[in-house]
Amino acid sequence: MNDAAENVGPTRTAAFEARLKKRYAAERRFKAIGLGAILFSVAVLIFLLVTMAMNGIGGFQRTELRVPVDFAATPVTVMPDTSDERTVVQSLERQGLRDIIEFSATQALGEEGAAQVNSEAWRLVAQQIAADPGLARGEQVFWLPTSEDLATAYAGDGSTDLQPLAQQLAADGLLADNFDFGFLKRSDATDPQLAGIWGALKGSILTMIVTLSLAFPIGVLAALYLEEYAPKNRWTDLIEVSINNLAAVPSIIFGLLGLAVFLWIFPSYRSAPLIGGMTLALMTMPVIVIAGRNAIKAVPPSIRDGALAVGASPVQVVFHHVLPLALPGILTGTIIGMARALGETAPLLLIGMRAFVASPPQGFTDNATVLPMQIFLWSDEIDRGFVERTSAAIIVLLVFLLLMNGLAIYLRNRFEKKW
Amino acid sequence: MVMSETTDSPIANPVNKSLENENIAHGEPKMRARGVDVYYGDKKAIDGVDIDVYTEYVTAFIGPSGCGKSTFLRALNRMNDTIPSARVTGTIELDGEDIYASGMDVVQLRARVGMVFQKPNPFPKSIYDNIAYGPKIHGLAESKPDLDEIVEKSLRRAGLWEEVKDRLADSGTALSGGQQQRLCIARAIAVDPEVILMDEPCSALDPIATAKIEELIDELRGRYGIVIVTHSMQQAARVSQRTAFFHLGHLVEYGHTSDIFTNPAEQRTQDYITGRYG
Amino acid sequence: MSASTLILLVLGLGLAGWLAARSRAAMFRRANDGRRIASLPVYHGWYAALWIVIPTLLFALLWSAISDQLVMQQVLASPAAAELPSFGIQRQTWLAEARAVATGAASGVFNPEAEGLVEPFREALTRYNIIGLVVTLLIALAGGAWAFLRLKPDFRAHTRVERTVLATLLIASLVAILTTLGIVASLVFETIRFFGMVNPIDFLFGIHWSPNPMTDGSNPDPERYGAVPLFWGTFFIGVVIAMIVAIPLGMMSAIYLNQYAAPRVRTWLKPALEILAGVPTVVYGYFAALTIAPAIRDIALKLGVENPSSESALAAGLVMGVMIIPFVSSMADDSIAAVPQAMKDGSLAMGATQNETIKRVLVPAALPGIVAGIMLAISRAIGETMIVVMAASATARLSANPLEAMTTVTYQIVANLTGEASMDSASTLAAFALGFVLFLVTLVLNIIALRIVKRFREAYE
Repeated sequence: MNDAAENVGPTRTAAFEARLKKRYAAERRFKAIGLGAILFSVAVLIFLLVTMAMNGIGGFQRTELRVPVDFAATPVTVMPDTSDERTVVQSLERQGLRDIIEFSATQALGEEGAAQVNSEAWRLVAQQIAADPGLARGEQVFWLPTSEDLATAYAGDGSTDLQPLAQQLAADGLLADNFDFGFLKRSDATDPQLAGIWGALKGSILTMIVTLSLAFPIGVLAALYLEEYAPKNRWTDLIEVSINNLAAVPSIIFGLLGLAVFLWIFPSYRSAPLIGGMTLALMTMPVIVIAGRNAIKAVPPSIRDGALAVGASPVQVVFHHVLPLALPGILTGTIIGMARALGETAPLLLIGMRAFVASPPQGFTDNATVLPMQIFLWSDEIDRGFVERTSAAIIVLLVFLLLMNGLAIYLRNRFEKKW
Repeated sequence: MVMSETTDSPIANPVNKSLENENIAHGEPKMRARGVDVYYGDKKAIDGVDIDVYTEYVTAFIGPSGCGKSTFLRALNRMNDTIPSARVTGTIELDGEDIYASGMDVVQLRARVGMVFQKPNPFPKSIYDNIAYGPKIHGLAESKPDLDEIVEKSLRRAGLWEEVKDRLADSGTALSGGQQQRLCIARAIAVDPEVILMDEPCSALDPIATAKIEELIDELRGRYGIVIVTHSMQQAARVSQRTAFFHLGHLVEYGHTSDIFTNPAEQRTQDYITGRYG
Repeated sequence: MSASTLILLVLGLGLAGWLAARSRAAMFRRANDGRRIASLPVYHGWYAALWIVIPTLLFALLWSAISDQLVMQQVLASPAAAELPSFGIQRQTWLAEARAVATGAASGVFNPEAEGLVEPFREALTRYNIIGLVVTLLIALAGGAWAFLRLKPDFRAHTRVERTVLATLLIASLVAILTTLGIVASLVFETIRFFGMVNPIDFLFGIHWSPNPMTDGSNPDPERYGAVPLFWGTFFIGVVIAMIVAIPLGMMSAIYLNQYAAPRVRTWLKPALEILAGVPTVVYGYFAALTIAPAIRDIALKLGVENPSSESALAAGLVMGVMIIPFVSSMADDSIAAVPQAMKDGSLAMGATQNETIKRVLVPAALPGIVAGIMLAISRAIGETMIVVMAASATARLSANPLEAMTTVTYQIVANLTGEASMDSASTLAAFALGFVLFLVTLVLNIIALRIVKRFREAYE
């Protein structure tokens, strides 16, 4: 540096100002790239949600035909004392309800139209009558599901033969897409018009109960041990490494474990929520341990000292003071872990929870499937109806996950304490 | 360092008469602050400070903890901009230019007004790269030999060259605390600033390292305007020629260091330096 | 007698023991003229309850594990079982149906062949249920009696109970090690069996993969089990394509959120990323298969590519990359946030602009954490299953063309374990061997990454 530079600092020259312009341009570019990156993620998320919602709306609807049935002309009787739905449906079947519906459909829709009433439609009528025997008197109007072919034609896809018929019926007000509340109440079926997700949802609920009741106590107790009592030695290190590693092991590995160990011990509980829940519990437990340890760590030592100073035993200190204070944090972690387990598919695929389950499981040892698995199974179907049903099922799953995550965020904000 | 209330009687003119006269003798001050308030959110941390900084003198800010001396120091190169809630009003001029004016470029400002922090904060890079960082980002070196020269000169000025010349590729964080702080000073010197702000530069150092830094500050005087915030009155007395005493966000007194320590005009200054509080 | 009723019964007995022992201890106290007894009555209650519940629950666990086998043995020994096919899905279906009818879960069998098995099942189930129930009750009584006899005024129930609690905590933390051991054991065991049929060298270095699920273990064709195309496909989809998407986008998202975004913007954008991270992989898989893969195929056709695959590696890789973005972003965010503010101030005070500070100081300082985060992201990507099962292909191919169909390790694990093959066939065991390789690779990645993270945190604490 020469003397001139001493008088006018190198940072006050014209060249510096010119460089400064370039540096600011680089700054703006960099910031824009950052914003762009995050907006890209948000855009993908929105695109994904919109795609699912657009398809999913169709999945919550069902193409139905309007069929008036005159039970005055073709009477059926419902025994007043038979409360069991199954019996009523069987009795109605014997009384020829199927033919009555077919006859009424032909009258209302013509030969061609009647052929497109879903073959199981009579059963739905029978179930409605079982629920409300008053329906079997006088003339009633039923909206009956169509065949999958007509539903496809009505949506403007599929074979061109049926499309004129669909347009005709729709113009006459006999064919419409109605909100299908039953989608949330039925179970899997081979016909998308009759498929529902209650079976899978109930399977998910049962599985989650098993997972929670295993992973939560084990996770919390392990976290307490490691944070409060564990001596610093090799064994403790090994446990720590195990837990941290298990939290990052691919989920499919847990499926292999479940297949090799749990199904070997319980061969007849293949595809039962019990086994699925146990497998997912092993996967969720490390998440709870890690969240639990962080929550316990955040409880200030002064509280422990205070309790010890009044003569509490180490166990009392932990269960009376530390655990209650750490609980909100532990619960937040647990909910997040459970949300992950709820959305998990791969390990359950391996332990066989991919069965076709047409009726909801009644217990922890019944054959069952879970919501994400149902999505996977339906996604393999090529019918247009299943594409929509899949998206609708995804919406249901996402709603559950959002609720759980929302609850976790709420808990975190509500109970988060700064010590 | 948030001030609660500033109910003390406002100080009309804290600047000593003798200094007023000196202004003429020494020409324009390098930096001039007038009526500076600093707020954190709604809380006022600095209230109406007027001060002048000269290249010829080391200026020391003293005062009890939380008095706002560091806050004011950070206002001088707009480091307070990095704290979202901080707000500065009043004027601070560098060579007659208002540094908070919209035309003032903060990058250029900070290149002209360097800063050394309380805790040594070398970057996790080699010693060489720590020094070369400023010249590189500001494009001050045309070539590698240029850069080498800047690095050597800066290290020499900071009195670190002999100690590290054989291990310039070692990490800056591997040095001792005192060496790290001198590295940070060398880093600040490397962009040839006009003023160097030092925020309690010795508070994390042992006495021997502190002595070295103080020696260094004395050597740098005259070439750079130096403002040092310090906790230690002895240090202020040793290294500075001008001392400003801050209390509860106010500038209580500003004058010759010797005057402040031997013959303070304000009772509060007297109380502080005699150890009644602080 | 279902497991849940059994558990309820045990807990009920425990409660009874708790009440009885507590009131007995309270009596000691009264008899002692209100003088202190060694432990509070409530600890005597817990002592008795633990002695009842723990042994019975242990037995119940053991029993539920073995009774299923015992029932099955008895059924298979019955004459009706002789007509069962020797293996395969049919055998399992029949057994499951008969069992369902016998337990009352189903009202009738679907396959008439299963009808004959219902009665043997019912007999076996009743028999073992009764045995189980009786033994449970006996153990509960014995435990309760033992505990009850030991209650004395000077008995330190408190210490005993606390010791039990500590032991329980220790056992709970051992579950993690047991799980790891379980994983290793099951994988190693089956992998060794596989390597008995197929040379490990052929498996690890062979380049031809087309397992035949129909051959049984006695006659595998080692030529068909060369896993290199699988490793390549996994690497290409999960490491190359997915990381090209995830690393830049995740890093820049983290930098923007951490350094630029106003707090209000951050409170909206961060949860959006968290939602992206919370979307189940099956949804991503569906998205990839339904939307992205056809779109890529269409674009490739328009660009004049001949025969682009509708199961291209690109589709699976891109969607996987998007899935990983929030993961990389949150790890990078944490690492950058861990860099001390002093470091950033030091750079800003030199007159560095924000992006110079980020690129030259913050990111280099946070690099260990970021690298560890990327390693964990890779570990997650190569273990990701549903996206590749739904969007990638079954075709094993060594190719660097992202528009071609490729398969992955996880895809083949699923494909070979959900087919018709029996548990002993080479293709089933191959899936375990693939799982073992996957486990080892992710284990190494995880352990190195966790080490780096730990050291990184210590450096800045």
